Amino acid sequence: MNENELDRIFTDYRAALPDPEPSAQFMPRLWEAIEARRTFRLRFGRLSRVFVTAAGAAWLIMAGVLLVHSTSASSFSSVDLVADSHPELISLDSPAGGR
Amino acid sequence: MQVDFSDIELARAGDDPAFNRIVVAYRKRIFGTIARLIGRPEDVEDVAQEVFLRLYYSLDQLRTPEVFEPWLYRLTVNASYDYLRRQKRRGEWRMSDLSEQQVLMADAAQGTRRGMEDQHKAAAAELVQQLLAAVPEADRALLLLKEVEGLSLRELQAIYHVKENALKVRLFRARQRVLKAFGTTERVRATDKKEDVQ
Repeated sequence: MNENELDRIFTDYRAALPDPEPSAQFMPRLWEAIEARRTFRLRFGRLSRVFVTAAGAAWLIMAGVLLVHSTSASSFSSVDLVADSHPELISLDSPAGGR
Repeated sequence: MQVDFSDIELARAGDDPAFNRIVVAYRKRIFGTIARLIGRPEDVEDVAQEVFLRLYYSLDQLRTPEVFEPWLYRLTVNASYDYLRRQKRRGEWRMSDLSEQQVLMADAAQGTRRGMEDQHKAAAAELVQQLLAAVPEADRALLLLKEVEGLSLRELQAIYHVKENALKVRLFRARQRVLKAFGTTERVRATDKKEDVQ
């Protein structure tokens, strides 16, 4: 087969498969699909907004709790904590408690 | 262009009647392209639905109405690729996968009697489908758009976003593959005929 024959075969193919006619249901089905996807997008959008709002609120609460916790914790130093749990160390090392 | 630029602009802005006019203007042409790309008339409508659905939700990304047609063709080719990939995964057979004898038997079983012209057309379609199977999927679509749909190189450039020379090379290679596949098919047929005679 040469190039010309190939061209003829393609032309025959074009004639063998003419543009099919869409069915009467094509347009109604298309608009149904568009509406269905639109509704899904709206719901998904709403759901994601709720999720973002909830996540923001949770972050604010967590930040508030951490802030309160760090403020109350900052009044105690680590030395105070050790001293509270091991009073004998303080009495040994302090000048008043020595020989 | 089969529609006014104003309709495209209106559809981009969300005007549903304008989008409806676009679909009505292009649906038959898109149906034809899909039919020749996928080779399964019964699934053409589903793929066309997907094309216009994608068009509806991507129209706002269209830069200018001038590039609308290549854009629509791109969507059509992509939706057809997606369909063909799904079919490949499912491993479904196609009419073109059957041998000539099996097709004749299937026709006889259905009790259909085609005219000579219809038979010739069906044979031409069968042959092209067989030959195109020898070409990679992407080049098959390119070949069909150029040789069957009659798109110009300029239009193909707009669809594929590649230079003219690159397109020419791809088309040349695809044509060579088809010619080679035809040679192989002819040899197989000749061997089969010899065996039948013996």
